[in-house]
Amino acid sequence: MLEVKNLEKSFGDFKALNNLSFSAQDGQITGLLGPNGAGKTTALRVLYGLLKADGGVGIINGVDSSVDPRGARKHIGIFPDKFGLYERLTAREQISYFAGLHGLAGDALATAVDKVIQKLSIEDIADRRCEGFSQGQRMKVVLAQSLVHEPKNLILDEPTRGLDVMSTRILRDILSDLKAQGICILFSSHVMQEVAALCDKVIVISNGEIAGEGTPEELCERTGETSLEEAFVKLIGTDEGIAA
Amino acid sequence: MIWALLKKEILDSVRDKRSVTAALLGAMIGPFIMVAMFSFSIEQSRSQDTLYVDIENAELAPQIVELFDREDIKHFDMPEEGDKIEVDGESETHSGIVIRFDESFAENLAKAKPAEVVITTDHSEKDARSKVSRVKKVLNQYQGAVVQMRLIARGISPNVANAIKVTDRDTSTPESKSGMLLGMMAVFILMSVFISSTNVAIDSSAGERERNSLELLLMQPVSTFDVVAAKTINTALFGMAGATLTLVLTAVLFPFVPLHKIGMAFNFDAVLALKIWLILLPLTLFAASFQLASAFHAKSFKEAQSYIQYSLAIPTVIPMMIEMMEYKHELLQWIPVITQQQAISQLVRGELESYLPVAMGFVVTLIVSLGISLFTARSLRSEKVVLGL
Repeated sequence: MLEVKNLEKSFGDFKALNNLSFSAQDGQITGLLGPNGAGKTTALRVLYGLLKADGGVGIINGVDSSVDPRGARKHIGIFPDKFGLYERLTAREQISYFAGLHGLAGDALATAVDKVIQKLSIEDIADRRCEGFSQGQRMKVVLAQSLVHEPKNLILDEPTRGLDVMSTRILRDILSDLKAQGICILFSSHVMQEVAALCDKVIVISNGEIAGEGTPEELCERTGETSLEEAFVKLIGTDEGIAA
Repeated sequence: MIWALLKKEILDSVRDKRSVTAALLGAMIGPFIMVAMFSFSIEQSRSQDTLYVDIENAELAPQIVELFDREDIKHFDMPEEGDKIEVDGESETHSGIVIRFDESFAENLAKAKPAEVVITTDHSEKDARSKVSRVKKVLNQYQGAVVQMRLIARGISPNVANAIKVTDRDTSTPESKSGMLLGMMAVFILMSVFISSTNVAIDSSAGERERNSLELLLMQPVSTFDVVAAKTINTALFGMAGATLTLVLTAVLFPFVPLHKIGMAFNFDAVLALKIWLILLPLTLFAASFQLASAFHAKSFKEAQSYIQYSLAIPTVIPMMIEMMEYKHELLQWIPVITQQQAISQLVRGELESYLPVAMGFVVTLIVSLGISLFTARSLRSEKVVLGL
């Protein structure tokens, strides 16, 4: 369960977040859709407790991330927009490192790492160094590292950017799987098809504000449009920065 | 937690060829330069250049010419132009000094009358005075011997001519003679610590941010202090490895320096190396925390590199300033870098009297390093540093 309430954040004169509130429920995939620069990544950074909001709170499983960022982060797995793999480590070392950061050690760590490697079927690349991995392989390693501690919440920031079709399909399957296990998934994207295909609930953000919220069908109904694409454009007021 | 962080830092840095090569080179260059410099300056200070002078009527005073020869003062005709002459195929410089024995020199000497020698030289020339005094010293030596003989021949003790006896005593110990050289050694050893940790410091801070892994790391449930501490320890380990290598190499290479030629009895043995190593331990942490602090505040790898260059000046400039400063307070010896430089140079000179400043310096250096790390940990909570804005 992820929640942000009344977030306010400015960078100098630029108002990045303006009274932004939304929540993501367990067992659902919630999509955060908005053009580039709408404030998606900023909102997520506040939720992790990496940025301090000027006002409002980010809550992860009931823990306020500005008060107890480390406590809050224990409940999330993060799939970042830039993968940032350690090129000189093997996939297994990379995943083990993140397991260690979440407090796993010894046999528990080894078991958890083996389990997630098996789950994502990356046994073949597990003991190779990350340099030279394809985007798809990188995606899987990053996903493995964000899931190794079996978090109750998974946050993905632009997960399909730069991925080929096959990798995207694999990612979708995994997400559906996780959803079935009752995990709360928050998914930020500027790609509409992806959001429409995957998400149970869509939150449309524009200029740091909520422009609309609901299931894809609800959004269509509300805007009186038949296609999702038209609905989004209408909500945002422009089609700039949105990818079909 | 910190172990999990540290394990990855070490693994990552050890596999970084650039960091390892930089550390190795940084540690190895010092001892080689040091040994080469020592040997060179010893050769320089020991050998006396041959002085080429023009001796006229040399046949009148064969004994003096022989004495000249023994003191490396050789006859060579003045060149017609300039001061370059060719001796045995090698180009040398003529001193421009002309020593002329008077026609009556031998005659007067035999009659025990003052025999005249004329030394002609241009006193405005560089080193003219010291060259002439070299010549005069030989002449005086000869005169002394002749006078002594004459007195003995007349049945008078030569002591009659010596009202006072001057004895020149050199109180410098062989160790303190080479104080300057050994002081440089301390600087070289300090440098090795800083150079060896430089690249690791940049790679694990600014480098990690540039590769986008720093932000993700800070999104994990870890305290920024643990992150900084792990990086500092890892960087310090490189500094320590560098220092160890430098000390071992110095111990191996030092016997090749011809120290005995300048009467110096100095031994860079294992015990001394170990003592220096212990003194350096807190400095490795200081260098690491300082370099990480500067690198974290840089926007990019490149910028970090240019910042860190200044940190390399610390071990050279600070000791130099201390040497030149008139004001010397005891507490100065507790300050990081200064305390290590002082301790090492006193140790190698055999002048270390008290271990108190060394111990206090050890503690103060650790505390300062911790302070810098706390500061870095704090700034890693600011978005400016994390995102490199």
